[in-house]
Amino acid sequence: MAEAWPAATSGRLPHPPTIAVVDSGIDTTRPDFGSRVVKQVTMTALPGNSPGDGYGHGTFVSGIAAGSATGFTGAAPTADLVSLDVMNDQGAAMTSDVIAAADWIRQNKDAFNIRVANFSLHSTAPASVFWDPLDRAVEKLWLSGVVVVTAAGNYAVNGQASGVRYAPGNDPFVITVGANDIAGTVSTHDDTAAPWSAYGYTLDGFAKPDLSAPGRYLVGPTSPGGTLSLTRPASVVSPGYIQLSGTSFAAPVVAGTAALLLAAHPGWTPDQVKGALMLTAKATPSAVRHSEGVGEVDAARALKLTTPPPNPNLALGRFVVADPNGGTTPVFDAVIWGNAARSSASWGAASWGDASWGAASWGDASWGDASWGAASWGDTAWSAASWGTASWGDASWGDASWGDASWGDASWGDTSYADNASTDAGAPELLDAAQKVQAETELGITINPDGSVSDFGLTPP
Amino acid sequence: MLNTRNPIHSNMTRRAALALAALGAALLVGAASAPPAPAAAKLTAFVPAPLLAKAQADAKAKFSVIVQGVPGQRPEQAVDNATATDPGNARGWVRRLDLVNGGLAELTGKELIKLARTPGIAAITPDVLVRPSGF
Repeated sequence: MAEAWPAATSGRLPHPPTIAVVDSGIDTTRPDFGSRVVKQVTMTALPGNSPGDGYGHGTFVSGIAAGSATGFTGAAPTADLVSLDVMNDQGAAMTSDVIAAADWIRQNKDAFNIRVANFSLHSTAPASVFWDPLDRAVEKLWLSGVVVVTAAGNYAVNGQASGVRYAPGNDPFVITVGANDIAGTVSTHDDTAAPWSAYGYTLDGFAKPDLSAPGRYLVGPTSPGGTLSLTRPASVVSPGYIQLSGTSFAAPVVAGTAALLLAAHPGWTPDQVKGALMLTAKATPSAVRHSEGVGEVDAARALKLTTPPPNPNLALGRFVVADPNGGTTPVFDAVIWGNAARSSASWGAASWGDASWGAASWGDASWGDASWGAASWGDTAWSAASWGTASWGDASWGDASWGDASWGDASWGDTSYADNASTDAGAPELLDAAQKVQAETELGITINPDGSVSDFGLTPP
Repeated sequence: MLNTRNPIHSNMTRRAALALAALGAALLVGAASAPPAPAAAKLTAFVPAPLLAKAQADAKAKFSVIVQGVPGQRPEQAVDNATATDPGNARGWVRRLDLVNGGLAELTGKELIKLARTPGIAAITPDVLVRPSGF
């Protein structure tokens, strides 16, 4: 990132597009943003939401994406910001509010030049892209030309694969970001995924995250009177600045980088931005395979890319159809895709193996020397394990997800939807029992029986 | 397979069929202990099994849900029709969410079941909490 900042701040790059931050709001009194917060919209229907940012999370996310204070510079320090406040002062939001925020972005993206939207949040109910409304919303945002960046989630336990089961991070189109622990060094050779950074397959069999970014022990701005500052005084490193960890804060590194890429290549589509970021990601050989996707984002390298990047969503393209409601934005037809995916011949071999990944795009460009060929994609992940056999054929799709585990029992059936369905059900549990223990011990938090968190411990020990 | 006149509507029909198949599979798994409720077979919209069970168990309970219409059909009128049977208990239609061709609604269990049997409704899912990915 450091190599990219001079280009971004010295005028060598055109002004980047606006980044929409769907979060807890932004404290615009912070000097980190100057007058670059060009619009604030409050979308939350929950009570207890202060003006600005009463929680502090959104200000931190925005600082990582586009802060410009000396010593606390974000990824795209000249980018404008639009704040969509969907969380109350306790960091809670409703799915409908997040969808409404996505709706607002789509309707106002041209007026505010929004090309990137950051969602450092996730649903508390595991879901498939077939029906989840939040997935449908971010897909449509993506297909309308907005780069959607989401956090993978923080529910892995001791570095073991957790799956990525929650919207919007489980959506195949968007950029899902895992948290990287840089181990205090510049080299990526000793980098690993943070032990709580979620990774694995979605309920639909997609491997996530797509890539990673630093997400541990980050220091950034927060609202001094916000819940985070008040409940975690030990993490406040200086007035208005706090040290936090989480995939929440890895995502805006990528969101800011995406804005820089669009400044340099305003004609690129979201698919191309995703392709450029993945193609130029740095390998992290010490990380558990797939835990960081294709590797760690490398802004400087991405900005040096001169050829049109390959499209990592190419195989999904044939399932994108005209909007039957008459809109100008196409939609993803998950049913057609599902039918194809269950046929190993068409999806497993033709789509991924030949057309998009193997021959056309990746082979020529920089596949071999980047992180794709060696570490993640080339052998195990796409060809053998996930698409061909493991996910689709056996575990996720064929047996587990639809027939038994996911729909019938696990995802819809366990605690999440069952407990959240009623309007008076109270806060749901985000984690299962093992994850709860892990979160409490490693992140220094206390999760109450009703799912609320007493200590907003965003910083692992 | 494809209805060339209206492929998406056909797809949505298949979506519903898939959902019903999944629901049927789930119900079959539990068939030894509890027979499936007869009403479930008549649903045309996807409803997560736990939500459906709760709605069936308590007709007067209130549920905050996101209703998605099938492509080409807005669900507002269907929600209004469903809530007309039990006016005043739940809020009914709350607000439109264009991106999902649907919206937020508050329904009683009875209204939810009725809506799930209404043609033109693709899915009814709970409006669940969302949390920051900071812990």
